[in-house]
Amino acid sequence: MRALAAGELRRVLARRMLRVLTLLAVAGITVAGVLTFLNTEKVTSEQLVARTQAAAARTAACEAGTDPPEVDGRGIDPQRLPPPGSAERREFCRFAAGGVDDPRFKLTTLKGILQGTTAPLVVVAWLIGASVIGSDWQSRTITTVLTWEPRRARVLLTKAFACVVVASAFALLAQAMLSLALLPSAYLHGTTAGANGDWLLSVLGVLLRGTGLVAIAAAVGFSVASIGRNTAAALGIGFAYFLVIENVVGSFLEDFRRWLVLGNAIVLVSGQDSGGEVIGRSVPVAALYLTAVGIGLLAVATMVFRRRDVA
Amino acid sequence: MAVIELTGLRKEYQRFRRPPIVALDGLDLSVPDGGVFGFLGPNGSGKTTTIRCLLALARPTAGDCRVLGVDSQTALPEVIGRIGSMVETPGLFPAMTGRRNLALLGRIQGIGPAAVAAVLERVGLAERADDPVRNYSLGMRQRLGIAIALLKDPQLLVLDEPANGLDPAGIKEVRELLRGLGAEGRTVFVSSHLLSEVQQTCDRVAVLARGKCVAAGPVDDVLAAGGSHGLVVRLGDLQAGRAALAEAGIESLLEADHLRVALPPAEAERVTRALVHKGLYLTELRPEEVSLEAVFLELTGEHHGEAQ
Ligand SMILES: Nc1ncnc2c1ncn2[C@@H]1O[C@H](COP(=O)(O)OP(=O)(O)OP(=O)(O)O)[C@@H](O)[C@H]1O
Ligand SMILES: [Mg+2]
Repeated sequence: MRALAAGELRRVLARRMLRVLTLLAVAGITVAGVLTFLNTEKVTSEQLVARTQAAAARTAACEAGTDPPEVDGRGIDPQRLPPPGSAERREFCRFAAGGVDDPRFKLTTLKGILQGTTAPLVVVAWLIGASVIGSDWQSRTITTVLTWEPRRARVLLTKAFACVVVASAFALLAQAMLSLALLPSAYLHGTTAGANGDWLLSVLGVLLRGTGLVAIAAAVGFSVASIGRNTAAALGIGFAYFLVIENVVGSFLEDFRRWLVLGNAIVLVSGQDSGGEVIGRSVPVAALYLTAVGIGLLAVATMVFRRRDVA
Repeated sequence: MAVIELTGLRKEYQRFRRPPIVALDGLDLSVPDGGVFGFLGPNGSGKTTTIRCLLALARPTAGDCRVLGVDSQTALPEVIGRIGSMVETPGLFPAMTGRRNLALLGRIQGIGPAAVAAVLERVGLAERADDPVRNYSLGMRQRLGIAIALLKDPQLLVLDEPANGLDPAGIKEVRELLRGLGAEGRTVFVSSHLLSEVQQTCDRVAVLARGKCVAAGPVDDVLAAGGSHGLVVRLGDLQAGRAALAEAGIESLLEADHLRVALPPAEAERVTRALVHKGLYLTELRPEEVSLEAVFLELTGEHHGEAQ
């Protein structure tokens, strides 16, 4: 059993696709780190106070009408603005005067950034799961392995396990590397204000839930490709299901969103009950629901694999 | 004890809105322990299907399939360590080297790198063992497949057309390899549609046609059962020879440049005597050659090797 698992892990790691994905991830993370560093800058507290005051003055001038506001570099006829003192005028001026010019990188935004990376990592996990079993079918290596270990459930579940482990490790490493790549910006061009113990815990929560979702995505991609015996089929079915069915159902039937995989994934990643406007779904229930979907599909794939002929 | 025992094996492949394909139609087969057993049949006769049922890769529709004394559908894990196999073209991991392919499989059964190196040597792949399989030629892949089958040092080898894609030297090597394995006391079950291969390699043979076994036994017996026995007689004046034989009460057939006489070789003397009696002298007298080809066509009742 250990030998089987070790072998499957090595086979997944030897895949060319995984190397390409790793290269792409490293390149993307490096670019993100460098661009963030270039687009942020250090601001002293005196400068910050001065900029805050300047922003307040601009807003006040706009509201009083002493300074004709500009939008996109073009002056606007003060006659056509909402009357001074009105709520509309305040709203407009907040927008027209611009906020405080603060080009620092705030470490606390890392949480949101990591949440944003979950979606691409889920796609990567799906791809890893689907392509591993898909190419096993295509190259008929599944036959070869079965002539060494005929217990089919064992073989399939070990393969799924290898995909889940590799996809999860990939996601965790990518997110850790992204965090590292952003640290120079945070320490040299920014602020770590607010990045306290509680914050760190919430970031760890994001990582944990994101990795869980990635693991489930790998298992689901694997199961679908195993049943369809084809990588492309799994990708096509995934694409059609999420973009067409879930999207359409989700946008027309708001109440139904908590029963969609996408809705539950949104709640899980957000870490908030009813997060992302998925009404009536708590984080633990979303986690359970998604786990059940993953395990259920894997169980179906195993049953199908045990019954059907292998070429 | 029979190493492989098939009784009434039936396998249907379902088709959408059409009657199923009957690949095996009540196949009975018994392969004794030791030696090389040829499994002969034309394309589509069900050789690969039989092997897949044997290795529990396919689920038989009906019938019994026993390997090394156990039911292969339920208890194959108990004996799989003693069965080396290759089904059709070997399924290999293209991103890995030949050696790595073998090593990862071997580890499942606790087989180490020394054995891997030994089989690579045995199939003549030692030199290219550390290239990725993606870059292998067809014949090299086939050799690696044979290496995978040999790696377990198995008591029973099940090989599906192992000579596929090999060059003449490779075919000869495989032939010698199989004979060697058989002589070591192992059982080699090898499928083929190449009659000459079976004739040169195997001790026993079973002939498959349309999912049924039409003949089985020692190669010589199967040959004897099928071929029409006779003598080829060649002489200057065929017509005169024919008349002389008829006078001696021997039926003969006039062919393009010789006569065919339906007598067993042991009675060739009668032919010579009859002809010499009339002053006719032979230029050639020999037993008619019986090729497995002829037997095969006769047994399978096919004339272009096409099933259905
Ligand atoms: N997966 C499958 N689905 C449907 N029909 C199949 C399948 N596999 C084999 N068959 C059919 O079963 C019959 C026997 O096929 P099989 O592959 O066992 O023949 P074979 O004797 O190995 O032929 P060959 O010498 O060409 O390898 C054929 O009619 C074939 O079309
Ligand atoms: Mg075949």
